[in-house]
Amino acid sequence: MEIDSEKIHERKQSEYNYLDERFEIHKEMYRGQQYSQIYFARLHLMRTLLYSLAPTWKPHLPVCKVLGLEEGKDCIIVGTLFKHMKLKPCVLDEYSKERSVTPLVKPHNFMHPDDNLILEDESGRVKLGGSALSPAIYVTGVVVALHGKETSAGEFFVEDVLEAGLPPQIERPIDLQEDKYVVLLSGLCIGSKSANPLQFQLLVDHITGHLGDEEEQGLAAQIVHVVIAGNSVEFPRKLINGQNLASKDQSTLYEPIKELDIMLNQIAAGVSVDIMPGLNDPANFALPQQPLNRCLFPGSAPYNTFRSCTNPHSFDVDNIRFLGTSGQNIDDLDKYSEAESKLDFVERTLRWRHLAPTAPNTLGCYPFTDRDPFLIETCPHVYFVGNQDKYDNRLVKGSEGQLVRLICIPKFCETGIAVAVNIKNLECHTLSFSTQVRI
Amino acid sequence: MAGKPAIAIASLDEKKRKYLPTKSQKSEKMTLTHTLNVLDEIESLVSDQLQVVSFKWLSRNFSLSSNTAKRLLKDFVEKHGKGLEVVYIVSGCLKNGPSNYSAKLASSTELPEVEKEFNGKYSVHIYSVQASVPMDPAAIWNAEFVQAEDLSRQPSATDNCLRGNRFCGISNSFVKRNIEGTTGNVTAPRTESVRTNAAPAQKGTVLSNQGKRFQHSNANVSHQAKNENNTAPAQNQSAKSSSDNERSLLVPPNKKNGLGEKSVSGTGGLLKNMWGRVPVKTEDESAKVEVKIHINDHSEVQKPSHDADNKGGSEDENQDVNFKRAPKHENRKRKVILDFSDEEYEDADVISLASPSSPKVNSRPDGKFNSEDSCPEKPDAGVSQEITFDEPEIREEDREKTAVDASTTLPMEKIQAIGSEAEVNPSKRRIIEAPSSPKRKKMLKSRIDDRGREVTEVVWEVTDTKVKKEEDTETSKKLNDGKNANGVNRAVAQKKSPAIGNAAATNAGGKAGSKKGGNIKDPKQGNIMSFFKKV
Repeated sequence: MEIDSEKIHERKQSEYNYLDERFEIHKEMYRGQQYSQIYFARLHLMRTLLYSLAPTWKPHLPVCKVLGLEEGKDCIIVGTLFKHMKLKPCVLDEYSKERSVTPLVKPHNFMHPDDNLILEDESGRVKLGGSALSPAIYVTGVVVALHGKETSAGEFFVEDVLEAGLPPQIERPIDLQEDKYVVLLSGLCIGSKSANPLQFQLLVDHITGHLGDEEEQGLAAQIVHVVIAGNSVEFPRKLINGQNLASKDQSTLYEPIKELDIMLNQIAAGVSVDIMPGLNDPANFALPQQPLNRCLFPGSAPYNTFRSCTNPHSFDVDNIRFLGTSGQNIDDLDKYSEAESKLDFVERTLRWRHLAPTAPNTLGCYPFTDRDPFLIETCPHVYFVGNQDKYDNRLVKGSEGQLVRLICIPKFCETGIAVAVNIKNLECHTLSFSTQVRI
Repeated sequence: MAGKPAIAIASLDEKKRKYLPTKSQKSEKMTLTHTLNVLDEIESLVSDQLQVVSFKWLSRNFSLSSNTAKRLLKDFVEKHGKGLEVVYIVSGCLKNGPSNYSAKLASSTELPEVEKEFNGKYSVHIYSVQASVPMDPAAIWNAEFVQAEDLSRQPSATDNCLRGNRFCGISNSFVKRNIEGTTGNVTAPRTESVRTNAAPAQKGTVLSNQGKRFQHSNANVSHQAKNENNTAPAQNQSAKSSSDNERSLLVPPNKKNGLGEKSVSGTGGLLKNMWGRVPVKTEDESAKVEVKIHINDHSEVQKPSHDADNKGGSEDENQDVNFKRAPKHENRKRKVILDFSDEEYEDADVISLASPSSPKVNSRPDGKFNSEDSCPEKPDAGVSQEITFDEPEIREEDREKTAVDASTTLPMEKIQAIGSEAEVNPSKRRIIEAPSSPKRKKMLKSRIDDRGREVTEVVWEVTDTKVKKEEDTETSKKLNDGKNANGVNRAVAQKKSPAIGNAAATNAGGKAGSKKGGNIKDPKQGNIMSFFKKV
């Protein structure tokens, strides 16, 4: 209504492409199939790939199947790794021990010095020995090529390992002149005690251009896309105990989603926003998690800028490929292997060309019959993981000139930090908000 | 607390809207008097109402841009700031992270410290003024959120400052809000559509089916189902959404929207068939209630004649009545197809076809013509895979009806009888399986036991309806002589009802009806209808 003499910035625009079809499940029918099919699809695709890479790696060696191994003969075998872990929780334990009411959160690692690796393909299994392959790094479900020979003990002594490596990448457009930012955040946990709504409001105000002076608002106008990577709400656990809810409890249950919807409404009114489901969100448990239902967001759903997406999520902004998850895959790797930093896990999944190798072994997954949607076929330019403990990023260079920015997005409710990626040069920085006020 | 001033200011807002000059006439700055008014308002809010006034709240309330609101607050603090606490927002880049943006709230006492953390160009604005800063800083946000909630509660079609994102410093002309898709009142349109569809049975079934499906599956399309003559709401919707989006940015997501809506409605239909029948059922029951009101009306008209018949007390008349109806229902019977689903689902499917059948039942003068006309419609309604079974349908209606109006149950019982009659008299019709519930019948069985003696005993047998029907076709078509125990009972009940009274008849009829489907009682328990049975 009022016209001010101030400048109103125009938000920058970008081309957006939605690439989540492979993660959507609406056409799949569950016919009681088992997980062997997804493993078979994975092995089949990866093996074709590794067979094509093997000649360049070790040209003189023959490639054979597990059953075709001969003692003392040097060869290459390709198969799926299985890590036998002593401490890995077995589902039968739930029935033998006393069960506690609250969901058991086991953050610790299940590794043990006695863990060993086994290679398996459709013909058989063979135990792996040697020190080239460290059980601490690998997990069940990774497909690799191994060079070695069978020992008299019946083991396969590994001399060298070939991973699939970074997939091919589409060239980044070199003509991007302007700075355009994509903001990534996760772990809002609206409804939990640790969430600070004022903090999120400050972020929303910044993105939509209320905060700061003109210059800052001009910077905010360069934000072209926002992605919320999971765990946006947290429902009070005590209410969900299988009993009917009293009406006052029902409204308590609904409050977090309503709050989230109003905030998303504010964002969607100004900029394109994607919301992904996470572990605590009202979506299905097994990966790939399906998009949050639009009915949960009556205020935000009418906007053409609002998108509810799957987890994992893949999209293009101005032909820059983004791929990311809400963190379940990396958290699972953390339980069954070790690394110095979370980014190591992220990099490993990229080199193994598989988003979630531990699925379906220890990570819930849909039993696909004809494909494995978690295989990374094209290398993304930005690969993000949500709900991590702290912010971290790394630029990874591939053997064929691929350049990937790996980002660990911290939980916003704990840190107040969101990440902004500049798609012009893949640089990223943080947006942090603090509401500590002392009188 | 925030409610009271909001109302006062809203009225002020209205006045302003009326008398303020139009955009073209407006000067760039606010008029002095206007400013003073606002400042006074803020003063009263903060000091008297003890509300936290943040710049966003101010901007939404007085329809100012955020930047103007910030300036206003600054003026306010300069003039009236004594005794009030101010919270500042410092934003910019921190010294120890030069490329990282940071925004921090600070009170006036810590402001200098916080400012030192920033380097280069940073900005300081007033975030909010309040009488005292709350213990939990998040409480500063409350008043603003209450305002946002109120704005979000406004009907979806209204564009307000929350939805339009008006008062910020960044504009985005590519954002479009689809107002067509409302999650508004779904029940109203549905009952409407059923009401009008009850009479013209032919088109009605198709539409009401479609309408219901879309309403379940896609809220976006729901209110378009209101438009009964619009047979392609989904197509309209997608057309609209595609016309909304001309720009390249919007094409992919909106294609998805359009497709999503279509596919959702498609899968919604599938889902409905899979497990959505339960909710469908409840709504269809409400539809049935609607339709039943028609039945009531019809039955009211017919009742006197019924009563006359009954008072006449002649069996022949009853038989005639029933006779007439039988063929009608036999026609209906023709559409029965094999069903492996539960009875519940049958009901649901049946219910969707209830609208043509019930007027048929009641419009006796038109009788056969009506039924024959609407009969072929049923397969066309695209529910050929579903089963219609009159029995449970009528029973349902009966139950519901008893709830609605006990006094007019008489015709319902007759309808029930007719239903059973129809079942009983298939003659040369091709009738396929019975509903899944087994029918028990008391039967006298005589056999030779191991000692060579003839033993006759009463046995509860689960009989196939087919068997029963075959048996019954051999007997006469007269209702009263039919071997169908339930039919007999019901017929007797009809006769007896004027004598016994309506309530009892209701119970009897109800029980007889329920016996059909749920005859899984203890065989040792006697049949209450035996009380009425003529030996």
